[in-house]
Amino acid sequence: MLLVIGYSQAARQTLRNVCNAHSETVIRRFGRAALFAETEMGAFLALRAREKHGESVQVERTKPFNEYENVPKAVREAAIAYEKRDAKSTPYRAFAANTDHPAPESMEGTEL
Amino acid sequence: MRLLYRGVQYAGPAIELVGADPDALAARVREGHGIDCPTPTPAHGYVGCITPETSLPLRAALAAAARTRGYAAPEDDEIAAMREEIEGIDTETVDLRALRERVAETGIAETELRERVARLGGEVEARRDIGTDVEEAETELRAAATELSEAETEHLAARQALRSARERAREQRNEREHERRLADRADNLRRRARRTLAADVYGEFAAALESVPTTDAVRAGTEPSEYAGDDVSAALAVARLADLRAPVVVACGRFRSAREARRALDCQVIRVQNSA
Repeated sequence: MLLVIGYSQAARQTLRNVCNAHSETVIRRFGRAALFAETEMGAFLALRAREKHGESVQVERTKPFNEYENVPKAVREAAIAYEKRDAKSTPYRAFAANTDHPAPESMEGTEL
Repeated sequence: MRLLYRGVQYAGPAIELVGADPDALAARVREGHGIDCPTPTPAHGYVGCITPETSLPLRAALAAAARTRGYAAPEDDEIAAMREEIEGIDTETVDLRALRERVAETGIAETELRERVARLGGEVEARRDIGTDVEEAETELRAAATELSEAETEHLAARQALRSARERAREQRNEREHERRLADRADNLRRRARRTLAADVYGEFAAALESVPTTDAVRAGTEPSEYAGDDVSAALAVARLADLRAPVVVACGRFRSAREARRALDCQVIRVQNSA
């Protein structure tokens, strides 16, 4: 999908207008952003918005997220284990210390 | 004031004109064009020209009038500090378009060269297999490989340039978000300041209403939201209340003479009489 974000008042207004006029291409709309279908029409609408407002309109391409393809097992398991923790007040850093779960710094520094 | 109008010189604090365009006259007052008078204060923008069609945002006009009388709002310092901060924000934007295009172009060039190298490599092998001369094909292959490695370098450089430009763009968006929030807050403060200032002079405004020709039904109440009356009456009272410095153009049919208007509004006046 195409994620289109408006960073100025005018860009957001354009985005709202596009969303109202092209419901078949707009998959979801948020406050100042919208997801367009990844079709030529979606790209056409995103490019028109960018042509009008320059870099006040950001366009990104989203990819489906499959944790079994994209995320190391250790990270998946850490998420599950942490959500099952006994003490809700334990911060993740303390939870992960002295275990096999990855440290926050190592996750922050590692791209998927 | 001294006014040159249609080739005639007028002078004095109360001038009578017939058949003139009030808006054009008020514009001349603001621009100092063909008229010799002090520079108007901002309140003049609200009540510098009073005609039957005048529509007045009362609170804003009262706040502007209060400013001309030296009133200040408690929000002023904060508003000024915010304006300074907003002005200091770097509003330059990175244009990523050329960089995106460069990444795409160098990527295509790289792919084409990689295919060419593979094809030439196959050709060299095939020639070797059947025992024919490979020298020419090998020279071509070497040249293509060199080009490919240059293209790879270029593509990588283009991608790195785009990546760092995107990071700069992200920072700038954060800056702009910050600027927008500041501007919203400054707007809120300005509205609050306007309310305060309007309230500060509302008593004087109510008193001024007593001294200007109003329609019978006008009632001031105790705050701007309670004002019940027409905009022309309110504009006349604001004109009386404010220190406009420059002359007011009145073409509202409520005064018998420019001198009467001058007395009622307590400022210099150009009174326009239109037959319509």
